[in-house]
Amino acid sequence: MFTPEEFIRVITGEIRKLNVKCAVAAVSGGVDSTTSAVVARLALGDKLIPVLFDTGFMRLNETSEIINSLTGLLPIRLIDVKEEFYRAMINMSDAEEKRLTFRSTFYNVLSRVVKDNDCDWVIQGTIAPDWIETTGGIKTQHNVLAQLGIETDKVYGFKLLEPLKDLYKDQVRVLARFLKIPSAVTERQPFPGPGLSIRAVGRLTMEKLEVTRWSTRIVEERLSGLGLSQWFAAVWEDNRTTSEELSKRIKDLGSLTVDVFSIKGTGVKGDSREYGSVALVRGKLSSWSDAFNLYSRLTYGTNVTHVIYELASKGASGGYFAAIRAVVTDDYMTANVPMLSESLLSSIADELMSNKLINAVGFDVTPKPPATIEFE
Amino acid sequence: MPQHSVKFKFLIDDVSVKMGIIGVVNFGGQYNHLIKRRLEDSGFQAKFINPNEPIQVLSRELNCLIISGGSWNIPADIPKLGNAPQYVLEFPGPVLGICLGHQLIAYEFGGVLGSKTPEFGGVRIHVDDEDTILKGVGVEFTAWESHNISVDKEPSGFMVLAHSSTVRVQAMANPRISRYSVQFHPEVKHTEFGDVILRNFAKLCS
Repeated sequence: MFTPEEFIRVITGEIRKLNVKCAVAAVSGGVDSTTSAVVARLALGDKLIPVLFDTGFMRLNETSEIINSLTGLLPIRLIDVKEEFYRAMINMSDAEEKRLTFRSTFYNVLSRVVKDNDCDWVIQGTIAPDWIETTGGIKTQHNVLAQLGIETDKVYGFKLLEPLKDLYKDQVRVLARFLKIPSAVTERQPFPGPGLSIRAVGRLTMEKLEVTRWSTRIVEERLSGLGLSQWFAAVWEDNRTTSEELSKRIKDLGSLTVDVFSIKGTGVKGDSREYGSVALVRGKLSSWSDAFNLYSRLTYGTNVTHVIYELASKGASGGYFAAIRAVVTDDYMTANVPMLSESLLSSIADELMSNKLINAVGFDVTPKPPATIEFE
Repeated sequence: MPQHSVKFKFLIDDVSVKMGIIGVVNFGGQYNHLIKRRLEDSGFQAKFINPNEPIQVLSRELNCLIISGGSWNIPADIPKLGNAPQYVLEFPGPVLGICLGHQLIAYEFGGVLGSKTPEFGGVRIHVDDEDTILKGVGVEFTAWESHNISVDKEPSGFMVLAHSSTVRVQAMANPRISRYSVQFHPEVKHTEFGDVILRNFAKLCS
């Protein structure tokens, strides 16, 4: 049974035995990496150097907010590596290629910081679901190396310490509260390492990235305080074709049409990763509550991984599609879609539609499984 | 069951034997860690088991066994399951199959599998018989699923405990030989009464 006191006693004891010269902690401002850095600092004191990378895929004003909220707890150094990440990833399309390239760029940058500071260890906030999904082949989390048999010592020149690797999110939050980490961090919704690069779905362009950044701010503001676990926007090209076969499956639920987007989305079906179709349901539902059953009609026995219900549209395809995603979960291993009202979602959609680059907006109504929480 | 009493004597000094050690056969399914965690959170002792472990070792060290999920298809991928088919047939203590484990138990005892009724995410489960592992769950609940293969017909000697709108065998049991199984995932948080179901099984281990 997990208790924070016992966990800290054991883990700090183990860290002290490692004979660390100096360790760099990669902090993202999220609860996992922040908590792992604070735990490591208990054992290492000033031998720990916490750094925050500005990858260019952060949300609006995110880096300054993180540094402010951690003042007094961790003396964070901000390192601007935007150009390096943009150079590596702009124009890339495939979800796994993006995640793999993010990871290699991230560790090259980290390896340089370790060398510049004459350190020998890296501390990172990997938790159980990260490596379970990565080793299970669902998706590559950027912070998973050791569990894949990658010897960081040989490849990157540092040893890797992951103090939280056997914990789940809810346990990390208990630990973080116990360590008096501010609630702005402990209760913050998770944000993936590759950040907005995987929420600008499909081919990554600067324009799509900025539309994603802008949409994210609106969705995060409008859905905050509702008790959700994670809520955000994802953006991709509004290119789609109608599927008669899928439309037939839901004809009893209203006058509805199902389109399939040109981009793909990640899902998990029967314990295997599926990089499949993203379906858009357009038209009037006889009952709003049926929106939350659409996934069982459209994902069973098809390659569809995400089902989106359209909230607003300017007509013909073209420009960007913005998806609102919201889920409720404790441990992020499975996730449910909250039954938000149509009027709330429509008013958020109207705000998003004020962007002239956005052509249509919808709400992702797919639980995990068969979808994953993110689209890539 | 004579084998049981011998084992009990052999391990009598071990504190954990009062509740039994539960082996979780690990095929790398993403929820396997949750099974271990839920059991430990309820005060039971659980241990991961590599499916290549000889059955003699398991029979000696474990009181009961959970055969959990994974991405393999039954029966096509049975050669990849190590000794698990043998565990299903010969392990002396209670066995609980979850998802893939459910399909494996059905197949090994002569049930019929199909691939026409996949289910993912939340599914309504209707209880036919609130017995053994389903004690205390009521007539209907929501469970979380992630499967392409399903059990279309239970093996003889098994009773069907629950069904969904498309899958006839969501839970089944044969208490005479201590084999129990569920198609859904009781270990994930979103499954209602998941903890109750795992505890019902774990209690059979003492």
